Amino acid sequence: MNVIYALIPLSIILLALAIWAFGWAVKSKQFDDLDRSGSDILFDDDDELHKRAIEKDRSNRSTDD
Amino acid sequence: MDWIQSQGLDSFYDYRDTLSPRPDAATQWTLFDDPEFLARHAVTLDGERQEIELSVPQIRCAACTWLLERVLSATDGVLESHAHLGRQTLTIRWSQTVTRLSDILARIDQLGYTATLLTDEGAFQARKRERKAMLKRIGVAAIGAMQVMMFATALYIGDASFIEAEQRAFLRWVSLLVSIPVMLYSAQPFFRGAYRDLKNRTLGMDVPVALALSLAWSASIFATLAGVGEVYFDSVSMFTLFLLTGRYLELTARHKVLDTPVESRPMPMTMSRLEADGTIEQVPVSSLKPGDLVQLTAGQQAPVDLTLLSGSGSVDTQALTGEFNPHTIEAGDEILAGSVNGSMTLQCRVERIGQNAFLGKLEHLARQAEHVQTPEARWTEPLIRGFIAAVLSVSALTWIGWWPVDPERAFEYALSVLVVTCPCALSLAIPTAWTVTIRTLRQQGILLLNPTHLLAFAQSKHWIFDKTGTLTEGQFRRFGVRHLETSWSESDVLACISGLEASSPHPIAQAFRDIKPWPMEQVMHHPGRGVEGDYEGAHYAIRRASQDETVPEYPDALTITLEKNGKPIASVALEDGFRLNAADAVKQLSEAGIRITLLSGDQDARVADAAKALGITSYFGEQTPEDKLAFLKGCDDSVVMVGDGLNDAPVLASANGSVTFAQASDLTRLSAGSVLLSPSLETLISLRNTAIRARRVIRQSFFWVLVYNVVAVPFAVAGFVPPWLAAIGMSASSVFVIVNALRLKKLS
Repeated sequence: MNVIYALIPLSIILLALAIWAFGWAVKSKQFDDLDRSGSDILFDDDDELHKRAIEKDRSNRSTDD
Repeated sequence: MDWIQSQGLDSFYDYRDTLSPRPDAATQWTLFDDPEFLARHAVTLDGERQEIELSVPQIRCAACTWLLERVLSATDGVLESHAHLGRQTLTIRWSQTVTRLSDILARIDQLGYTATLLTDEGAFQARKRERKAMLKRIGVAAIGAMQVMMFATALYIGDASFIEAEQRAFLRWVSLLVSIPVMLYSAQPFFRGAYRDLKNRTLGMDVPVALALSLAWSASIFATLAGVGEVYFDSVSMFTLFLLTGRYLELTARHKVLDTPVESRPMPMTMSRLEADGTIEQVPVSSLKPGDLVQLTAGQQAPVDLTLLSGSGSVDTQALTGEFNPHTIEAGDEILAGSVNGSMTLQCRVERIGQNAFLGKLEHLARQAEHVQTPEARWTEPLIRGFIAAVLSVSALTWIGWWPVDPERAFEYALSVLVVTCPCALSLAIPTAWTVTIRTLRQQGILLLNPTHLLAFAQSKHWIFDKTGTLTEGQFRRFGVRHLETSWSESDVLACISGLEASSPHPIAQAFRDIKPWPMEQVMHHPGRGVEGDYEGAHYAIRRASQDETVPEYPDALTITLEKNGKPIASVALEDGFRLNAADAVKQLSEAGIRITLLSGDQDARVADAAKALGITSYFGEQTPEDKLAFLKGCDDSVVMVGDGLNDAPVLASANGSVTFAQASDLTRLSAGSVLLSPSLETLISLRNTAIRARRVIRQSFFWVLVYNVVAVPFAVAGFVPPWLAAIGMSASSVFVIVNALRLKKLS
């Protein structure tokens, strides 16, 4: 059981880190618009149309060269 | 103050430094004494008496409003004051000869209430900061509480399985360590609120909370230091977390409504002023003075009251009245603030500015009406104060009663009473029910601005409707075309009219915006009479139809006639169509046993037509805002008002429940208890149903608080409830009522 003397101080350090991380998240506006966050997941970064458009753009540029 | 002295803590007054005026206090408030500033933001009632409404974000509970009003009523020179909980504002009426506004504001600043100007960027930023600070407190409380609960579990289990005394002491010490930020940082708002309440000899929700927290925490620290007795670190941390979460939910719901972007027509910030040397200069509206000569350009909204100096023109007062017949004005006529210039540039003189202008006065009237307290508010405030006073005295009596019997346990029993009775169901469940309801309504396209109106939506048996813009769309549509010259096709008639109306700001022109216009030349607008212009060598004109030119199917509709070289071509009937589901909504409300009255500023005949079409039997036309207000005052029962014009603002503000539309002006929206974002009137039915459900849940919460306390208090007083059980009981009770309140979400 003596292991708690090492692990609990360690957990408190983690706790301080967690609080700091949360404070940072609040400060960097992570919680400013919770209404939108839920739908953010629906917006694909790798949208097929978008991807194709990028590729087309790239190939256009390479043919220009 | 007495309480602090009675506790032998007088030296507190030696230590504290917050009451000493801040270094910048003097300069901070002098702006409020500037005559120009006052002309812009305050209302002069008569000579020396002035009134101003300011935002005070620190008004959090009914007790705060009571406190501010008490303090101000004792201040020399303050004639009247009203603190508004819903909007978190403070209205002060003061006498300029006796005191300065800056002195009053400095005084309430010392109490911890900082006044700022309304609806400005500053207030918006202040709300944002408040939310962030609260969120950080919740984060610290949540992380801390979870950790302390873990240690507490180890201690409880350890007690059963013979934990070593050394490890037990260690766990207590780390619990103490983790609870320090929770108490000193997260729970700060409760201590501040309680301090403010006590200093001003009143009882708010924060008093028992702060008392329970500080007693339990200091007892736990003592027990940890002494190595004997109970520790309640887990209870206090969880307690803090629960209460903060409830407050945060309530806060965000309120802020969301306040922060909702305003999309109505913005007032111009500058005007062209004619200088003494004959030049024209763009000056900020705020620097205009009565007597200045200005130009009101075409389509511009008058920010101040004006008088037309020369010529004639047409102004549209739709934003003010909700009725859209623009009227012609001649030299010497007044142009009220909020009117839109529907003609060419007008030469005007400034009459009244700021809150003395028409818009400011009307706004003031609406606010006044709102300040009349509802009967509910009158009995709930003392109820809550009484409840808290009872909790404190029962807890104190428990301690006094047990002291001679069992001095060691007396403190614990008193603490149990305090914790077990904490008014959490009241301070958490009702805001939660409101929050969920506000959210649910929001999803249905309804913004609830004043939660007290919810009750009226649920139980009012009398709903009053405005006509134009409320039951109807407030927009002209083409209903029928009558050909007076058969060789013209309908599309040519419409394209020709569209061409003439293309450059017109008149509402009639809106009915033709979807048609591709003919390119007209030499277009001339004659306000109130019509439009004329040339196309391919011919001269065209639009005028009002004469009696025998109307479209047969729509004899009462507003009808215009197109002429070519003075010969009538065709007539077009324009009508303001009913809103989506207007008839349905009226029918459903009637079936629910609700009496419906139609009050409109429109002509009697048109009002009668509309009422007949919708199946409304009780209707009154040609109503002025005063008539409407008088009608409302004449109603004995609870009344819901649905309206959209600025002229409805006073009625909306004084009805028990009120609804307006997103297109309405800022003032109308501020006056109403709720705003429908959806154009469909079907939402009114959702509003009523949601309100009925919310009322049921709030009643259940009250009932639960009653039952829970009646059962729990005797046990706690008798010493059968240890503090940890009290905290669990309180938490379970809170969770129960919150879950019940959250059920509202599912039901919708």
